[in-house]
Amino acid sequence: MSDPAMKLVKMTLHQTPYEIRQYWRSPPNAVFAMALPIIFLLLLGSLLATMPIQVEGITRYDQYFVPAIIAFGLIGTTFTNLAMTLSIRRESGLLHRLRTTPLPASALLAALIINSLLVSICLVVIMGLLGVMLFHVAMPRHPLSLLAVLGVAWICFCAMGAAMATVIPSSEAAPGVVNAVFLPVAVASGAFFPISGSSWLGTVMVWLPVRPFVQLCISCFSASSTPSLAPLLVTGIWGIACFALAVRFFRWSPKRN
Amino acid sequence: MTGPVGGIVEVSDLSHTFGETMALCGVSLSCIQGEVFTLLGPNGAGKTTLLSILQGYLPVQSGQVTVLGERPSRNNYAMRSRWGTVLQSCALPRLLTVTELMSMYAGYFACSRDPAKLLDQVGLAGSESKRVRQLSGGQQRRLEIALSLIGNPSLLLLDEPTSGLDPEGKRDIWQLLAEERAAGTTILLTTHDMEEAEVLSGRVCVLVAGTIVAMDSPDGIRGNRLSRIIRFSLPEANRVALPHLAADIRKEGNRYRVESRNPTAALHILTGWAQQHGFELLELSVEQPSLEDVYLELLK
Repeated sequence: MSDPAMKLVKMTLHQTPYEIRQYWRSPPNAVFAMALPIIFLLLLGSLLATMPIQVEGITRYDQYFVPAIIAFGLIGTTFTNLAMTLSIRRESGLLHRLRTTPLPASALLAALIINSLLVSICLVVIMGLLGVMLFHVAMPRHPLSLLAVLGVAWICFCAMGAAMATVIPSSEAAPGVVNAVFLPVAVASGAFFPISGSSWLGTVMVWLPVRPFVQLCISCFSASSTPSLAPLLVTGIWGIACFALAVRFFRWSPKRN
Repeated sequence: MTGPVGGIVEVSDLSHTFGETMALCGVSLSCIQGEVFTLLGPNGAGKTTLLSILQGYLPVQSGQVTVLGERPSRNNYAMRSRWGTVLQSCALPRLLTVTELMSMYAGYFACSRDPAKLLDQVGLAGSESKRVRQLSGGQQRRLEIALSLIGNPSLLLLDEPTSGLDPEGKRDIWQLLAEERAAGTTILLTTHDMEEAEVLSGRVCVLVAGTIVAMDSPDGIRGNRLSRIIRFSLPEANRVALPHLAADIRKEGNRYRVESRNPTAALHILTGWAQQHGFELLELSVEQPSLEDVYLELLK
């Protein structure tokens, strides 16, 4: 491994524990990223678990919403987390302060992304276990595909979070802007209830990144459908495009500077 | 207007604009090793812009700049490992403890100082386990200063480092910075505190509207002024108008301030006038202009 690459790995490993500490010591992070999807899971599961549905060969709501809420939770721990963390730290001058040190920007970002991975793993495991134990959801029928889908989504939604941070004007605006974008898209993408693919909204959502990801998660759990490559490509293209946007427009200091 | 050759910081004919606003105009300066070089100037004079260019956050639009022998750049991580900085506004991760933050920063440098000793030097011994958000503003400022020193820097870039500190805290930090200077660290400092500039600086540079209007040692800047300041107050009962003096006369609260290039003649007139009307010139003093006096004069 080359010297700069070694340094990057070393700095990333150094920075990651501090990012983990900061994340878990912030109550809003724990509430929004971890508790919210679990609350939705318990709430919807308790109220509607046995509701009959007809989507992708699934006939009961509990078989649909557990994988869908897992997708929702992962987006929260990646997209929402990165967009808020980066914009709040930028506007408060924390990123600028770190840029005065020899810590490479890529090491900081890598540490934040690793932290989001660890949080995502915790969330997926907790939600999966709750789904299996409380709502008797079958284990994923395509576990390797599920791992691949979650891995691609993790990277892509982190890139989208970094891109989102570039357009957030202030730290006060961060939660509002992020949730105003994420929550309506999540609802319209079927993260809570099945949506009709033939409606105009359903047609639009197929080309946005959330709907394909939700579909993929559901098909990884389903016995009657197989995950296909096309939705993964849509999410991947969004990820690549947002990565390019984030690299091009990312700011380390508030605009006033 | 130029300083010693072969400096740690070399700036030559530097100009910078923000849109149509000229932030820096033909600035040239040089800091040598072990020197405390202070930038003085009113708000918006261009001090922070200059520091931002030296740190590589703003591009060099016109002129030449070298810091520690290299051109500043956003991605020059090697250069960043040789300096320490205190930014104008305090920005620290509030959820980490003091010890964690010091360890985090220490890990960025190949050769770092002992965090516990540094915390003791800045007066934060006993606060190691506190989270940053539990510290007062002044304590956070002390922590910023400790962080700026953790990488054993050759150059310190300090933007108003003691703002928000109490008088005792300021003196502690001045002592620490004097020790750093004695050990060979170059310090480039901006401040609005004239006493700080007098105590610490080897040289002072006064920036007004992006232009250098004076650059010399504090004594040199004061010494260039031939005038002296005469201060006195009058008994409350006095209703007699002051005599005519070929000098600048101002009132500072209850005291009069007379700035004269011929203080002997001015004193002669004043004391004669007081004796003639039968009263004393109270709290009479004759002083060399302070750095603050000269600075305020330069701003006019």
